[in-house]
Amino acid sequence: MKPNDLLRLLALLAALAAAMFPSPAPAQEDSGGEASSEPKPDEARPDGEESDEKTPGPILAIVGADIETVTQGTIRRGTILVRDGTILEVGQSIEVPEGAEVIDASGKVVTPGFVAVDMNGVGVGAAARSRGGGGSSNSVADALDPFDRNMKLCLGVGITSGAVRIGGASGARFLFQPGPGSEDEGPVSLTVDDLIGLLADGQLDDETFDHLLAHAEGREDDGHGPLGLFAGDGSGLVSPFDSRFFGEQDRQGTCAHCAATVMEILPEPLAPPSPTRPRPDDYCVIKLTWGDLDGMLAAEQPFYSLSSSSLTGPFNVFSWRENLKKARDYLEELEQYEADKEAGKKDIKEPRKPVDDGLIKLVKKEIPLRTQASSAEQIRSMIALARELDYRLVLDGAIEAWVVAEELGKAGVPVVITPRDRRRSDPGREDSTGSSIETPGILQQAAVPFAIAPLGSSVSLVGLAGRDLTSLPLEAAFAVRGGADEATALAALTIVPARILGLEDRIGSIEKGKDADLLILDGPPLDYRTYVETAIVNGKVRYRRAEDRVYPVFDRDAR
Amino acid sequence: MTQPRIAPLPLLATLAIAAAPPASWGQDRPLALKGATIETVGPAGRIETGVIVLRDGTIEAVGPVDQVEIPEDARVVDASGRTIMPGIVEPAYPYGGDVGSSSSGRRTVVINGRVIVLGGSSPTRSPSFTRVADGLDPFRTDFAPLLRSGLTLLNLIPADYGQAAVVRITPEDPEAMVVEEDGRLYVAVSNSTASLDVVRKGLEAANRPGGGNRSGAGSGSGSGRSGRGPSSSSSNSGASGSARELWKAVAEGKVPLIADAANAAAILYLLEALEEAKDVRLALIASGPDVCRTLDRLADRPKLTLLLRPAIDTEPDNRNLVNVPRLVHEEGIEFAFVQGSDRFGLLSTQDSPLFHVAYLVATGLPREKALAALTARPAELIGQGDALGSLEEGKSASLLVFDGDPLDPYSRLRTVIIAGRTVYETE
Repeated sequence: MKPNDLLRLLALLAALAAAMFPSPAPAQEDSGGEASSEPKPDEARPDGEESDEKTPGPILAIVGADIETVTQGTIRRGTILVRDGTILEVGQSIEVPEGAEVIDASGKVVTPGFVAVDMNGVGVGAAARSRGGGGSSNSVADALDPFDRNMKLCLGVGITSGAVRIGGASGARFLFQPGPGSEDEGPVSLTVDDLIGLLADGQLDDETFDHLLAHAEGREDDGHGPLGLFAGDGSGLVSPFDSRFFGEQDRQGTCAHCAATVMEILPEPLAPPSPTRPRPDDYCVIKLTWGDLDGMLAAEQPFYSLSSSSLTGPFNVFSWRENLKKARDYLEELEQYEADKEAGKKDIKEPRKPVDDGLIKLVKKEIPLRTQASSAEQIRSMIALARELDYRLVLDGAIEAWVVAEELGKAGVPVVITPRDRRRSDPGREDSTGSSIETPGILQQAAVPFAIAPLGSSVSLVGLAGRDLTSLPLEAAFAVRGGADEATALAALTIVPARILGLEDRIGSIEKGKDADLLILDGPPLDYRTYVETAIVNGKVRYRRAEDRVYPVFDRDAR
Repeated sequence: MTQPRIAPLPLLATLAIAAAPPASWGQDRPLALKGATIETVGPAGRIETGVIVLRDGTIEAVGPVDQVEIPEDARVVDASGRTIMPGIVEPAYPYGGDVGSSSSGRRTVVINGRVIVLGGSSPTRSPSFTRVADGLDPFRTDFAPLLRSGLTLLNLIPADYGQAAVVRITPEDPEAMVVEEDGRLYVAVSNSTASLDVVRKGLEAANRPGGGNRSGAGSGSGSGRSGRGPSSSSSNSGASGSARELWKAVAEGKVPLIADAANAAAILYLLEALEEAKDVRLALIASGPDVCRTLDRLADRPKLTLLLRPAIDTEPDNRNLVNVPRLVHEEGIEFAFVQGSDRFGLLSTQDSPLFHVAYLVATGLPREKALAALTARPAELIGQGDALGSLEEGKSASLLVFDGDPLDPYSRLRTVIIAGRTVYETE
């Protein structure tokens, strides 16, 4: 990410000039870049390809705001035209067509909607959580919940799209003590599906359900790590209450809050004889189109997500190599098969997929591998592995990225950082371990693209704690505190995460033809005082601060 | 505990209506209730001082006192000061089939300090088709307490997918309880592929021309357990076959589809799934807040009837009170009241069962719409519109007698008559 300081300076000068002399200064056009260089014939497109299919919809115009385009600098007092969910025009001297709905944003700032690389439990219903494995046929496309309250909270801080984790807990069994009068004598084993059923019946409240799922998914950030990992042979499972296998000490993994024991049923018995299949976490990208199912699901499996533990240790690395090799071999066989079929050969068999679809996409470099690497050693080994096995890489929680910034920059590996994340340095190695407030500045210097993630990836306590998902813009402000430019910090909320999710052609910046995901802010985007006034997703207003009353409603100037 | 009492009860002679002579019930002598205000919920509207004549379980005549000739052999009961309205028809009363069964086989677990009863189904699994009539044993059910709430006819719906059955509440005559074994198609919908596929594949199977007997609509496992009761025409045809027939009728708009939307998202998914099926008459059970959120979409749906809880709701995400039935009426959407899912509420407002409806009327819902939503609309919806739901000549004599305006909270429900028989009365 190159901060184009020069352009910004130019823009500033131009704005100053404009302020002093009322005549339009031609220099402004340059700062707007391509988008504003040919603004006049905005009628040119409609009678082109689009009108053949359907009549273009009404136009929404946002006028008077300073537009932070992210990729093309700042446009002072610009105009954005939106139609059919996408940005029709953006620039300074754009005429607002007659009949357009106009939002006057004079004195306000418009930025692209923020993109969260990880938002847990936003916008998807319970059915999506049990996805993957277990013979569940539920698809994310059928499990969206466009009326999830968390969406409003996220829109209120500017998040308009993000990656949501789905499934991942399908192999878990929950063990509970039987209640009074139950026919069961021993602990009762329930699956996620069972819990969802209880949730739907209203017997289980949302909070308890989320809590239990947090156990099963091992979400550390909620303070409920995975509890007791037990192995079974798939059919039978070993109860943690069975004293033949576990002593009192082993059982201390039960949760103090809910007295549940969560077990993970491994597909193989302990010490598996053959390379295990990787078990990625499933993600999808949703847009926060409040109240609308259309266009809500932006992408499925935007990256291949593996836990760091499944890529460390000799056996796991061996398995990983084998699986990638299988995927490559499969692709070659498939190519051969296609060629044979083309040639009209008979007696040929279509090769069977040895691995999951995601791994094949990874090998084809359609999606990156996303995994955690916080220490410098881990980061180095992940870079080396990615180079050796030739796939794209994104690193989460790269706390010590400042130590290996040069290597990251050279390898072109984007990282996800949390500027407020703290990690103690090893004694005696203070200059090369632990966290550093300067990480964002150092990464910028080394041209390492980074995205910002807040301290927590879900919405909790309605955002009151200041550490959850709704603190995302604030977290970016801490990147500025750590030496990054404001432009870089804004990019870390928009275009960089958009690239990580593989959606940079649709979201992450304000450009002609991109999705109209826009924020109208009452101040600079990284100021802690700034509120989102209006959030637009897919060209429609989805959040208005004054109406939704999610965040305080007052006029700062009137005080 | 006040148990619904059985007619004839000579001890209740103090009450005018109860002063019915014993024995000769609806046999030969007609009964005339004279002088009451009659809410016919039919074309005749409200009759201030009217007479209603009941003979052999049906309404022989109804009208103003000066226009109706009371038969000479009729037993005339002075009902002045009372208000008579049709019996309330419940369009969706959940029937699990385990009512009255003992607690054996019950499984419970303790989660977070609460005892939770296991069982039931999960919206994330494919539901299987069940036919309520197959699991219904009139001799083992006890709906009698519902009479105190004015409910006379129940449309029993299965757990999450299947065929409903209609019963009337006649505790003394279980044989006559089942009115309709082959009821409406019912499906519970949530935002999950499993439940949505029931609708999608059901319609798909219905639209497929003949032949393909593989109805994808749920792996119908609950086959015909047709040993009991009067044998019905389709009880032997297998569940998947009958499911297909039902979907066919639904797709052609011959019968309505009763669907229960678990949340607002499910409403959107369901409307999407039915987008192409314009002929489908959808009867949608939805909560007030969910309806608020999707009102503009619902207004666009043709042939829609909403089944709403008769209560003031709070707006989604805040505590503002809102009269959802009124909003729905003002949007021009048909609606009926459903109370079956809220059994506790149903029992807690007994003796002035229409208190909540009165509240809705007091805050702007037209009175006649409210009364129709309790009686005529649901009766029509479950295919009993010809016999029930309004007080008209020739219809079944199922009615409620209040000692004042039914919508006055001080009025009490005094008598419930079903098919000419007094099944409940109180002082």
